[in-house]
Formats: sequence, structure tokens, C-alpha cells
Amino acid sequence: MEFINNIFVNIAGLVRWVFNWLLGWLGLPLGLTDVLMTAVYWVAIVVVCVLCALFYVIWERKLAGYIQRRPGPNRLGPNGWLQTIGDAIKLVMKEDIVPDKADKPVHLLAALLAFVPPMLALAAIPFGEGMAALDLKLGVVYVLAVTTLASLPVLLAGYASNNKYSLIGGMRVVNQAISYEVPQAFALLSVIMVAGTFNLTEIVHFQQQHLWLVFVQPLAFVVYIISAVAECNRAPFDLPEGESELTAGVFTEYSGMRYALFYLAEYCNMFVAAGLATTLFLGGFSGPFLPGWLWFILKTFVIMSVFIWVRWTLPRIRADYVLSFCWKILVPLTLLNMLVTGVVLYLI
Amino acid sequence: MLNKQEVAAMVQQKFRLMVEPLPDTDCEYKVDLMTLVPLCRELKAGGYAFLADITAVDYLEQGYFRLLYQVCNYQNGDTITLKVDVSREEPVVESVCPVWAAANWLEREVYDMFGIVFKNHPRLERILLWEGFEGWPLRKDYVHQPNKYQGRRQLD
Amino acid sequence: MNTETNKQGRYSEVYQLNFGPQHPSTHGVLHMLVEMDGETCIGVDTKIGYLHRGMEKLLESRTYLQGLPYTDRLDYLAGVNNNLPYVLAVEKLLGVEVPARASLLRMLTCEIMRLASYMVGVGIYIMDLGAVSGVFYPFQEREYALDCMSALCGARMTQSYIRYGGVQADINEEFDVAYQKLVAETPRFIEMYHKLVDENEIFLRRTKGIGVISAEDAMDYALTGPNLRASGVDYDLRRDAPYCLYDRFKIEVPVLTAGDCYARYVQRMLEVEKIFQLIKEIYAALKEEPAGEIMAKIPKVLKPAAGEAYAQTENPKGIMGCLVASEGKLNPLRVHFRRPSFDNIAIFEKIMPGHKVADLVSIIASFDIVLGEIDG
Repeated sequence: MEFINNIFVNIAGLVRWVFNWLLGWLGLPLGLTDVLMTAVYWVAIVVVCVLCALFYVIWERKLAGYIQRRPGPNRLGPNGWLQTIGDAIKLVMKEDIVPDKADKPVHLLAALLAFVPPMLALAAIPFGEGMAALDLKLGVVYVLAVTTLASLPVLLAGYASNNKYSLIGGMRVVNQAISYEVPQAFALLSVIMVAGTFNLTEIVHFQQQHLWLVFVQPLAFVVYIISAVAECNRAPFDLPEGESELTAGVFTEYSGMRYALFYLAEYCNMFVAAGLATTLFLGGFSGPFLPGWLWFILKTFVIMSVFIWVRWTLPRIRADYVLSFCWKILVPLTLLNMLVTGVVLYLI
Repeated sequence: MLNKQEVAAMVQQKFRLMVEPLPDTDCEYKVDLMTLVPLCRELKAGGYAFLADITAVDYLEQGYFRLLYQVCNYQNGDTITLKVDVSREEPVVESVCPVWAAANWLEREVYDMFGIVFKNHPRLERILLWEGFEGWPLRKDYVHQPNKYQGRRQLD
Repeated sequence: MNTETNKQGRYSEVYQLNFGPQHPSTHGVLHMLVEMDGETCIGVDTKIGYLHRGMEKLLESRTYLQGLPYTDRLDYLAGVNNNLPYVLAVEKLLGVEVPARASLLRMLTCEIMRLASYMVGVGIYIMDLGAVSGVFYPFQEREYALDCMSALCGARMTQSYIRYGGVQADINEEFDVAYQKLVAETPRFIEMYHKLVDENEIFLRRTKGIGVISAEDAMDYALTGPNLRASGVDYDLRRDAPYCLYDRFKIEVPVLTAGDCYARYVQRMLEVEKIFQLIKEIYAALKEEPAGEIMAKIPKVLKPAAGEAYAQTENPKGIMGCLVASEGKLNPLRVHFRRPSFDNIAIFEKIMPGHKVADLVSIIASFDIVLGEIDG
């Protein structure tokens, strides 16, 4: 049990041991091990990112099929579970079309940058006991700061495409991301007030000792989930993409590999948001019987499924209501929540 | 609100010489070019608020276009047909847009297909075909040119 | 232009957005040149004709029998309903008396296809607002209606079921089975769809008070069908100027007064219930009607008498009119269709300015337009 629980930690230890041995054999300074280990962590994160994205794309399509009373993809592989891989291959093989008057370097850069913020954020999230690549003291602040960056590549894409729909979409991204950053941060702050730490692993430990924070801060949880959906530009807040209004919004002029990168990045962003919600509210990797990392994956899976469920149920909100909902309802609510939390903590 | 008999009476009284009821028909009138708009105003005042249709028929041999106006009454469902003959040489008719806003697109369609000009129309342009299309396709003397491509103006 | 509008107190540069012809929510190839100030629309120029197939010209060069199947392609969501005005107009010229059973069959199929068309209307509306799942439930329901038609005449969408002098085929056992399925499923669907959509907060926000049309404007712009009735004008040809045998039945016409997008949606859902009732009544009447001819005696070669005939019917999208002018030859001199969607969307230029770009989608979809019909 203990072995399975620590399997990834042990693998990391093994790799580190191998590096140490190799460097000693080659007569190189042992300080290089840390550098090499960082590289290994990054590769691992990229692999996790892509695997998650691939899985959740097909899972979303399956779930959407179920919601819409149709089979969903069921041709490629067993019950169609390999469909995403087929789609990914198709997208990679496609011609990479760049509009003639687009800002070409930025157009390319946007697609590449889209992947960076979710990977940076994933580095700090503890997948299990001792399984955070970066166990930062200010983990929450770091993740919040990095996820905000996710709107930047989308804005760049909207600007660089030289298309009016893209530009409108890009403007909407900034509107939305900046606005929903505020209630999201406030919601997390009240959690931090209860837990008394910014470190993500310690917040999980706090929940192991006491209670899942979702029971202490239900309002913050709900607000966080809503803001997370908005931050990830998912329906009903998928205004930047807004298929029926803006054709494909910021992604109108993207095709092939570049579009695939955006698509994968969207799912990675969702995975990060779900992972953060799991860590902060649902006890992270803590749980009986099963190994910690499996608990983390299961809880994330549940939250992701909720995201998908919401997307395929609700109509899209109009741009101005998105903002008024944020500033007139969510922000006051979270502020009130913080006040109540503070008063209660002071009294206890 | 007028029903069919009252319309007939009204026409008799106000437009005796200009509007002629067609025999053996159900409320169809042959209307003089000049009286069209006054008659339409009168009908609208009488409750015929629904201009259902404007269209034209090209009688090439007889040498005129016949414009047909279908005017309906929301209250009793009566339909009145006005038929206006216009010479093919000078196809100009007064627009009924000031009476019914619905005439706007209907007249544009007739102009598009027959080249009948509606005076005082706010925006008489082609509607289904593109600007620059040559000829009036629903006229009987329109020559179909299968080998000629009438494209939109070339992009440079 | 820019400096001029900036003087009018606008914050940003006015730009033009080509809404369509290639756009997911213009229901095909509707093209609107929208003047935008930020996200707000300040002027609309509707451009149509991208799907113009020259239907009227085509019909002039075909014989009457050859021409009939073309009419299905106008409002392709309700093929039978388009046959009817054309056939009625030609029959007026021919002077044919249609057997009662054939008339009932015409009405039955028209109502079934009307139901199917409304299903698409409400489904696509929800989809254009962003809830893609909403489209699949009405489409399932529509499938039952199309199965009925398929059992009756072998075609699902472009049936050409109504012929000069009668109809193509009488009802059979296969139709009865499909019909029972339709009757069993429709009430359940209506109830479920009300639950699913009606009180959704986002849906209400996106539709209430959007694209309001007053009764005066609706009449002035000659709106017809559910769009007219949602604005408070009580006018339905089936009741007010009955054709076929609609005068035998009591037609209930729901009327709403709000005239906004929500009213147009609710109007369609209310009418679905009434249509369903009417289908059941017509079917019962058809069962009572003694079996007999479904075709009147018409000549093998159709040469209607010279003259002009105009017929109007109440189609799912509004009032469809058809003018047939004949010279007594094999082919008509002129055929013209009053295509309800064409007349309905002329009002866009009036109601759209002042709305956000997302509302344009809402307004277009609430009109339930079909481009095949607009462009003719």
C-alpha cells in the first residue's frame, strides 16, 4: 500500500539516484543532478498535461453524446476511445494556414504560448504526498498569478489574426479574465484564512486533520468553480470562442497544429482549475484505501465532469451580463464571505 | 373596417372611372396607374393593413406588364387583388412604400426581376441578384446566355 | 465617417462586420453587413440572394407536373406545405374539385410537417443561444413526424406528396404505426422541453425584451405566422380564410402580446400543442371518412385555362402565397411565390440597431428563417 502510494516519489528517487551515479561515473559535479531532475519534472508535466487533455477531450465527447441522446464517437478503437488520437493526428497533418495579412510571428507565438501557463501552474499542484514539482510557500498565489497569464496568448491570437471576429473575441477574453480574477482570488483568500497557509500541500494536510474545506467554505467553492469556468473560457462563459456569435472567435483564423495547441491548452487549463479546486476544497490527495495520487485524479475527474455537464446544458451568457454578474453578484458575495470568515475566526 | 362589399361600394363611390372591378372574380380590380397609391391609402384606412404580395407578370405579346397587389384584412381575412397594367416601353409605377413598409422588399424583388421602376422607393436596388447583373431575368424577352458567366465584380 | 460618429459621442471607431454569409448561426447564407460600435450594432444591411436558384424562372420552363417537385425545395423543412399553395392555385385554374378524403390527407400531412418544422425552429433557437444539447431533443421528435411521412409516401423531407387533384397515396398500416408513435411521444416531449428551457435564467436573459416588435410594426412589415401572432395580431389563415377543409375544424390560435424573442419562442411551443390537437382531430375525421377516391379526375396533360390565380396557405413560417398565370399552354406563363421568410426578415433592419452582437443571433434564430425560402 505504502509502496503504491509513493510509487511516483520512488521513481523520482530512483531517477535521481541514477543521475547521481552517472554524474559520479563521468566525473561531473553532482550539482547538475538538480538541473537534470528539473528537466525530468517538466517532461513529466508535459506528458501529464497532454495525456489529460487527450483523455478529457474524448470523455467530454462521450459525455456530451450521453447528454444529447446519441452514441458519440464510437468508431476508432474500442468504443471510439482512440478518437482523439485520430483527430490529433489529422490536425497535425493538416495544412497550417496563416492569413496573408496576419501578424505572423505573433500568430505563431500565441499558439505556442497557450500551453505554457497551464504547465507552469501544474508544477505547483501536489498530485500526491510529496508529488509537487515545485512545493512553493506561496503556492496559491503562484498558481493564481500563472493561470491569469492564460488569457494573454488568447488575446495575442485575437490581435494577430487580423480578423474582426477574432479581435472581438480577444477583447472579450481580457474583459472576462480580469473580471473573474477578482472573485476567484477573494474566494481563495477566505480558504487561506481558514487554513492559515499559502502552501498547497499544507492546505491538504490541514484538510486531512480537520475537514474538507468545501464544508467550511461552500460559498467560496461555488464562486471558485464559476470563476474557474469563466477563466477557462468554457460554456456558459465561452464568449471568446462563442461559436454561434463569433464563428470561432479568437480561433477563427487558426487551423491544423496551431488550432490543436489551443484546443489542448483549453483542456489543460480546465485540468489546472479542477486540480486547484480539488486541492483547496476537496481534500486534495487525501483519502482512505486508495493511493493519494489516484484520489487526486478521481476528484479532479469529478470536477471536470461537472464542467462538461454545465457546458452541454446551459446557453451562453451575453457579454455584458457576464461582467455584471461578476461585479454585482460574485464580488460582493465573496467579500461578504471573507468578512464573515474573518469575524468567525476572530471569535474562535 | 371594410368587407368585400363595402370595398366595392367605396370603389364605386370614390374611384368610379379609374378602378374597374373585373367580372366573374372575387374582389379583383383593374387599377389605373395614377390611382394606385390613393386607392391603397383608402384601403389601408379601411383596415386592409396587410400587403401580402406584389408581383408582376410579363405579357410580352400584349405589350404590358401586369402588376398584382394582394391586400388582406387582418380582421376578416378578406383578400383584395389589384391589377395594374404598365407599358413595357416605360415601366414606371408609383411606389406604395409610404403606405405599407412591407412593399419595400417586394418592390425591390419586382424591380430585380422585371426592371419595373418604382417611383419614390427609398432604395431601389437589386435584392436577389447582384449589382451589375445584366438584364431582367423574368422578362419574357430575356435571353439566357448559358456560356456567359455573369460574375460579381472581380477582386483585384 | 469616423470623426462624424465620434462627434455623436461614440467611444470607439465604428467598423463594419460581415455577419455571414458563412457564419454558423445565419441558418445558411444570410448575409448582414452590420455597423458596429464596439459590440453594439448601430445599423444593419441585410443582403440576400446567395441561395437564389431562380425557382420562378425554372417553373416557367417546365410543365406543371415537372414543376411541382421544385416547390418542395423552397422551405425544405416542410416540403408538403409548399406544394399546397401551388397546387391550389393550379387547381383554381383547372377548375378541379378535390375529393374530401384527399383534402383531409393534405391537411393531415401539412400539420405533421408543420409540427416537424416547429421542432426545428425551437431546437435551432436554443442551439444558437449556445445550448447545443437543446437541438437534439426536438430533432428526435421531428424524426417521428418524418417517419410518418416516410411511411405514407416514401420520402422524408421533400415529399411532393400533394398532387394536382389530390394526393399521392392513402394512409396505410405502416403510417398508423408511425402515427401512434408520434402521438405517444409528443406530449411527453412538450412537457420535457418546457421543463428544460422555459425557466432557464440565462435563456430568459437572452430572450426577454430582445428584438421587440410592436403590433403596428408587425402589420406594417407584413410579418406572418408565429412571428406575427407573438406580437399580438390574431391572424391565422387556417381560421380566418380557410382553405382545404379547415373550416370543418375548430382552430385555436394562441396569441401573445410581448413581441420579443421569448414570445416568439413561447408562441411556437404553444402552437405545437394546438397543432398536435389538430393532428389528432384530423386523423380521427379521416378514419371516419369513408374510403374512396384520393385523386380527382384530371387530364393526363395539364393545360389550365388562361388567367391568373392566387392561393394562400398558412405555412409553418408564415403565409405562403402562390400566383400562377397561365396562357393555356403546357407550362405556366409565370409562377410567383410569396415566401414568408422573405417578408419576415425585412424588419431586421428596423429592430436590430441598438442590440448587442449576441442579440442579433438571438433575433435571427427567433424568426425561424429558412434560406431556401428567402432566396427562392
